[in-house]
Amino acid sequence: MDPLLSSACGGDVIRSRLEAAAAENSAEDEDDDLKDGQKVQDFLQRLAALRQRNPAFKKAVDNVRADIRLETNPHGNLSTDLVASIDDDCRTGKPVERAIEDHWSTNSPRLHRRCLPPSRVRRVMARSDFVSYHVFRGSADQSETELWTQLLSPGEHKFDGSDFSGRTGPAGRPCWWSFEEAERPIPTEGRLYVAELALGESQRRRAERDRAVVEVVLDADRASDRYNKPTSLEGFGPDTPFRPELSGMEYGRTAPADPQLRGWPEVVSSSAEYLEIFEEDTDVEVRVLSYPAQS
Amino acid sequence: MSETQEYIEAVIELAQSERTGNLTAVLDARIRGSEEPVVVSFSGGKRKLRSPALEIDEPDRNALIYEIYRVIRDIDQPNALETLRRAAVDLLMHGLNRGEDLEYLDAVARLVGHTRVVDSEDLRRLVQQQLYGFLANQLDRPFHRLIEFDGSALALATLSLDIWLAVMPVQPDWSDQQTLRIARLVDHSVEQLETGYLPLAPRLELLSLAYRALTKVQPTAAGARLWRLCRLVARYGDEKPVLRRRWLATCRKQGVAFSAVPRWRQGFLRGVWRTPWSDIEEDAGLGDLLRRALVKLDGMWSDVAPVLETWHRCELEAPDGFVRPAPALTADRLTAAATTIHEHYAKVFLHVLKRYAMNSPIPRAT
Repeated sequence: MDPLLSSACGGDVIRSRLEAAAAENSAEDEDDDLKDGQKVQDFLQRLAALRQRNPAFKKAVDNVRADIRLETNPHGNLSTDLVASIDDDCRTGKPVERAIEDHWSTNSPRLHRRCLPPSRVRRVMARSDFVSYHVFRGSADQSETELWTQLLSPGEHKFDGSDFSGRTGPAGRPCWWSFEEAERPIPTEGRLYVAELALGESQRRRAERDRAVVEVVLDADRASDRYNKPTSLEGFGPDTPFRPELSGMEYGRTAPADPQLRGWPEVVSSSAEYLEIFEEDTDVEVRVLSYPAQS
Repeated sequence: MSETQEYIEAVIELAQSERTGNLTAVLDARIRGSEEPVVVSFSGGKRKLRSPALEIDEPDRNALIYEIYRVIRDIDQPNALETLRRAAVDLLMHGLNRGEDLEYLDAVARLVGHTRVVDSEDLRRLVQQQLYGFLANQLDRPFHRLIEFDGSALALATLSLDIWLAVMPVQPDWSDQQTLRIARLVDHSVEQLETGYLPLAPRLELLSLAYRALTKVQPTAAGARLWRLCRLVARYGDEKPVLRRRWLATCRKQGVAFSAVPRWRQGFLRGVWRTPWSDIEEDAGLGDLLRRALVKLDGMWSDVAPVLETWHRCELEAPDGFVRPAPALTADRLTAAATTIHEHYAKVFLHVLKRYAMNSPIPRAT
């Protein structure tokens, strides 16, 4: 027993005060739950307003609704605490899209589920984006863009850690990775791979124009020191191809538009500069897949 | 048709109709991420254009404009291309004059580079002129002392130099005075950094840009200075390996550029021969970095290594009393051998040189 409570002088008074406080706390917890419930409702209303304002966000808003963890949705990826925290931000006058960004797993990691991908992770993108953003470090001087494009002919290429001045993904935004599954070969044709990975409209359009996509393969422990299961928050955007994984699996899964296709496991992390994470002699494996014109 | 596709087509139509003012306003809204629609005049009347929100796997807001540039370039409409470049230049000039923040200026700078303003003679001259004026008037140091800045002034100077380089063709037809200015910028930067009073890490980018500018205007002079830059980076590289990697990435980038212009590469290599090889041998760290840099520079190490090896053999087999040739003298001879005749003939020449050296000592150069 607490020595304070057992003291002869005033022990009962203190005990009764503590019991009263405990009862009060319990009531506050219930209040908090109620408040959180209210905040979830308020947040959903804000999303509904956004959807009305910009119909391109319809799927993103539906995703968030489906991703909130409830008794009836136990594998939802967004805890009530997380949703309440976003709503708190909105109450300060922050636009809902901005509040969502501030709660991406890369910005609020403690509110998200951490996961550990296998040893190698992969990113796929249109070749022109790879050259502009992975090879070059946001430099105005892009006079070698065309030459790099020629270097990246379809096939497998090996580069080393100091060949790329760019980043694994955009600074300050989630970096998306997929990885190989046992006994499932990676497609050798870009159009199929892009469809299975459910890349966005812009990536598909550029891949079509480039006639090629690039897959960069990195050691997971080099690419990032923390990975998270993606939620509808990281996948929040206009006409998003993202679908939350709601079966309780450790990783997310891409959701191809064609139901005949099977998606790939996916995780998110913060991005990094290649020159910061690699040694001079680190091998960087790059695969260029052709993206044939649609017949 | 999606909202993004409609936006792309509308921007292309603006460029085709050569409405630079409207196009500038639309691009400005895109770069700023403004959700407010821009009212623009088309031939059929006024329309509102709203910049589409970023998709989740879109690298940044510039990417869509790069795509528009490629469409216009591929359909081969020089006037539309010129209008797009002019809009990019307008954004840059207004941005610099208004004192926009670095994030905005950086985005606009990449637009100027990506749309290849360098290929529009009048526009590139305009940008160079304005930038030089900006560097001379807005920043309170002479051009050759840009390396002495720090903080935001250093960042602005670096960005300006980056743009300057982006609009500078290979070996531009410049006056000796302009060329000297760049050489002076590189030399003064190296001297200042060699003192150790100015930390290299925040200045390596500016130094690399200045060096690449020198490579464009005077490749031989740049080649001759390569070892000094390597020495500087090697000195800091043990503590901060990322600096070595940054420097090697610069060399790789330059190497890819050389691969497309053999004469340019040759001019640079001619300067590399002037390296004081005997001094390099005494500094293992420098030797290693220089070798790696030359590998990145379009594989120039494979031009240099056999010649150095032959030189070593020549020295090892020299009889008593052989006086080692002064490096400059040797380098000039090797330069002549390696760069003016075919590699095979260079080997023959070196063989002859070796025999000559063994039989008839060369008098020490005075």
